[in-house]
Amino acid sequence: MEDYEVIEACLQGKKEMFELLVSRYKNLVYSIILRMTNDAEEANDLAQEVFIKVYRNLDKYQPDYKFSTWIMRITTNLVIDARRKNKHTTVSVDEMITEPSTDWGPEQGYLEQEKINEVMTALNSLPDMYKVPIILFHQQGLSYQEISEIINEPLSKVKNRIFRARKMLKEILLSKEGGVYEL
Amino acid sequence: MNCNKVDHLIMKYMDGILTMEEAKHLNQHITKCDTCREEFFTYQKMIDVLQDGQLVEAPKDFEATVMNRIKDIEIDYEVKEKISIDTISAMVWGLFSLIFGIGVLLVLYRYPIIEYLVENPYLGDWASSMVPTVDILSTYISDIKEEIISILSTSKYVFSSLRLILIPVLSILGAIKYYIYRKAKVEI
Repeated sequence: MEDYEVIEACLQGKKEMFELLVSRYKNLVYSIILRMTNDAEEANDLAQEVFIKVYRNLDKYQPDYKFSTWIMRITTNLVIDARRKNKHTTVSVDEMITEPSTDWGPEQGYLEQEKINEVMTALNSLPDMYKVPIILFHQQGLSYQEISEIINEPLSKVKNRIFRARKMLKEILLSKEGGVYEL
Repeated sequence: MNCNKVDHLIMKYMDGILTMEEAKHLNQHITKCDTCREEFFTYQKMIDVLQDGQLVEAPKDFEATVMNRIKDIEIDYEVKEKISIDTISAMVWGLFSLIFGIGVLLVLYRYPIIEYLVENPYLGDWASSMVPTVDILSTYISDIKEEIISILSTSKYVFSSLRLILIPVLSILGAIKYYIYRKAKVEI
């Protein structure tokens, strides 16, 4: 059953069909929020809010867009609003959700985890206007065009923000000592 | 190849649109240039971590919690679809603009219209009786015109003396507005 068919059913009063949409998109929504907040509990709360908002506004969904684009737009806007309201402070690295790899030896696992923490801390220090596009591009694998539709900004601005975000991340990472680069 | 060009290639690499030829150039450069090599591997580390991020599983009871929360939300989507205030406002403004536009055209072309109507066998009598009204209207219009001209000529002196104050004030207001707009945009 296609997304728009599920939405049609919900709009006709079959509330239970909404669970299908929740199942399909919960991990996407949760992942984006988790990467923006680095807080599992907050991500869970906000992800629920996203679905409640989606449910309340289902009739506003335009089938011209992919449902995933629409829900990601709602997600990013809601997270940014919530962080603005809470005057969100940066979460420490200890609260990061990433688990060390178990496939490798302990030392490799540790180094890998250090690398992840370093990049994620740098990412976390970026302002939302840069963080959102770079998460959507590199983590969610979206195109510039899709990001432009989600954040409702022109393509040129999206490209520029991703470019600047990369530069900022690079500067932060280079300023940290102890990085080992191999050729 | 200079370092700026290499920076451009690294960006293309990160966008996943680097050609084989460009990859060769990039590779050649970073084997020689320490700075670009360091930058390249920093970027590489960044995308290694970012692109490795697969979807994280939402908590197990997520669907149940959401469904439980929407259980009590009753929305009549059909009611919501009824005409909104925006639509009504758009219709009122649209109608007003249409009437205003027709009115302006009638006033502008009042004499040709009256002349055309006087010649009409059915509306001729009525149109002839309207001629005095149109003349009165013309008098009113010319009075208004004169009034506007006199106001403008008086205000010209006021404006010219206030210009020195008005321009900086308007510039500051514009700058404040732009600052607010930028701030809002920066916060998305």
